[in-house]
Amino acid sequence: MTWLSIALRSFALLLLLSSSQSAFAHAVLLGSTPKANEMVMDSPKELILNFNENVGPIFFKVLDKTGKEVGKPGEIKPDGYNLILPLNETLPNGTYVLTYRVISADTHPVGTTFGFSVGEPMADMSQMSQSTAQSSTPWTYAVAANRWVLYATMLLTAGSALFSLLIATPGSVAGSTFGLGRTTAIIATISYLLAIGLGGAEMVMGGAGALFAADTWSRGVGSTLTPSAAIGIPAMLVLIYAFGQGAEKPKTGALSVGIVAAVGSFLVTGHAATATPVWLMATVVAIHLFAVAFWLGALYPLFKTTQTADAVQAGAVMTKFSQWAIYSVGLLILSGIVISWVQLESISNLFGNAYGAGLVRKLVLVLILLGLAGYNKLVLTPALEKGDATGAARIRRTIRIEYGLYILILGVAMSLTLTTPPRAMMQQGAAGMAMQNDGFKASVKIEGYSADLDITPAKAGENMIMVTIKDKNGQPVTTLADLEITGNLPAAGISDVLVKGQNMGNGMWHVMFKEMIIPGDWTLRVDAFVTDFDKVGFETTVPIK
Amino acid sequence: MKKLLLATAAAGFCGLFVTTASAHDTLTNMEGYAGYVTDFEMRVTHGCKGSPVKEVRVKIPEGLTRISVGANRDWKVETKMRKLDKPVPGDGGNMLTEVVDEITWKDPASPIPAGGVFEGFKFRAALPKEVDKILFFRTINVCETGDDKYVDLPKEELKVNDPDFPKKLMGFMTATPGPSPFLITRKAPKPQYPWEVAEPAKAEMTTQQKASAN
Repeated sequence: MTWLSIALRSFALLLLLSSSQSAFAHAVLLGSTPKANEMVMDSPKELILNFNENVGPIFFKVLDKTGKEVGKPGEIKPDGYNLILPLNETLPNGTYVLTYRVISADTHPVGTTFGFSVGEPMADMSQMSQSTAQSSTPWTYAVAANRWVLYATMLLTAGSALFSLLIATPGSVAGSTFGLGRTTAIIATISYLLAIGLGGAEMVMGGAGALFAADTWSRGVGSTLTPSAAIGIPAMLVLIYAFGQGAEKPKTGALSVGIVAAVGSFLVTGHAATATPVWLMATVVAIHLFAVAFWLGALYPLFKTTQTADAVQAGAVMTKFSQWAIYSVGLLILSGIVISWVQLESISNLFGNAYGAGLVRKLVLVLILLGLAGYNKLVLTPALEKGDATGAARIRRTIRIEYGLYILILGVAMSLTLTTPPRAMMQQGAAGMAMQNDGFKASVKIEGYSADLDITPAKAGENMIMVTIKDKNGQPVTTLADLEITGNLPAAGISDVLVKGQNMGNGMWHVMFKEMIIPGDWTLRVDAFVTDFDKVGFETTVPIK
Repeated sequence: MKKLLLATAAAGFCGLFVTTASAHDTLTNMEGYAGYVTDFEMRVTHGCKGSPVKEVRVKIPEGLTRISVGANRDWKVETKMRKLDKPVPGDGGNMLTEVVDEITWKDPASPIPAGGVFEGFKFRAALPKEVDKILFFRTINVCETGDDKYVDLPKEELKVNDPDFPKKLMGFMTATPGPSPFLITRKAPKPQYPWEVAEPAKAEMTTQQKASAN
């Protein structure tokens, strides 16, 4: 087994992984029907959430003001990037709370709660939404802590294996490396399993006993944590076996497979591997992980080497490590830059958001680490080679510091996985902007009356039109018998689509125009019925995009 | 291509309304002799987008007098009155100070099915004496779901003696979403009732009368 064959195998695995995974990203809600804080006139037959990607529902329900689930919902139906919740019971007029929690392919549960109202203006939601909108639970931190343990132990395990393959000369310090590798592999195995249960508990936002509920685990099993564990646990078992076979004749085949599978288990879950383009990100993340594992795995054996072997022998090991380390550092930095670039989308995003701030912290720590490594290589290793006994002690000191730094860096990396990257935030922001900037306003005067129209979103599809009719003194006409809007799009041969308005009081009328399905300059005629038989007609043209 | 498909789908979708709306409420006779007391039948030919009709309201145009509503055992009939600016002679030589402004047929034994059949609503009125006048009978069908309003008037006044009148009238009937049912007054060939002429003709005495007079 050579380095080349490892590379080939890992590349094959990456191809396999990237072809079997759809394009994942951090899921964000782009829109919904009804919209947040929207007033709808009729009880909706279904509620729709629109995401930027495929999501799996954890729960999705509509509550009344007392927090009771209402609407007799049917099964949640996924439809492309939409989730549809059919309601079998009409909602009486009033204010409701839509609440959902979904899991995206990167295993991050996301959820929000917002209000809407049926048939009447919304009641004050501020207290209600605050109490339920909080989506972080103690489980969120448990998941993060477990992930930290998993990352550390998996990388240490894979790193130990890598070290024995690449650096260790049989019999030198490989034994201690193997011992450490076995321990971390066992912890990692438990951690892989625990991730499923903790992930499930986070999804259901369960109580203290949630970890012992079957439903919790079945939730976790449904997420990408399962394929991760399905690859990762066998990898750990293979490595435990390989470590158990002793260092005299290392099982290079088993070690290689174990390393590749261990790294692969991280590619099916988490942020970076789920960003598009998948093939690029999966490759780059894999390289990043290999490089980190190599470095992390080498620290302990190097520490041991300098403790047990004589200075010259230790110096030889250090030199060998240093040669590999140059490539490893290069790959680490390069892959790190690519990952950051994809997640940040622009250098300016390094600042002013939580993800960027976390990344900056990580970069600072990495720079310190690189400085230490440089000191090791340029000052301490030559000293060791010359047989300087104090060099060994100094190297051990820097290795201890490096361990500390790694723990910090992994911690920061964990916090990054809990933060929404600017890439996903931008999608959400664009959707928010679209909601705000959408719409078209028009005002038409005729026969002493005026009609103010507000059309949202003024895009092909269903549009909401709010109309206020005012008299010549500018006062809203509250005595209208009826209001109708007739739509025409002569260019598309559409004529006289008539939609009735709903009286909202205070001279305001609400019209849902579902038929504006073709973009173009629609002619809208608003017929305001001053009496049952007498009407005032206002005409205006509305550009629908 | 996608746009074309959309357009086709939309045209078909909207065509649905156009076809169902092609036959609206109309008066069975769209012409009448000026000054004649005339029978009307308002025909309701379909429901509102598939919903049965449960109420019909007709606004009587100005200039009509002596309005009476035909008996109807299936519908409850209500009339709303309107004060006249100046009194007009009634049926029996009395003077009328108000006329029927609106007739409502409601609470039927069973509603008019949404399609396939029509129902006629009868009333009677004296037409104004003005010839070639277009009278619009604005009508509202109230359905179990929604309503249809045939209350639209021509955008520009239609003149019967305009050479383009037939074309313009057709345009009004077909291109307007909710055209009001209408009737055109025509010049009567003779007075409706002989006793209505200013100078009643002296009736020739029959032989019997002559004999008795002698």
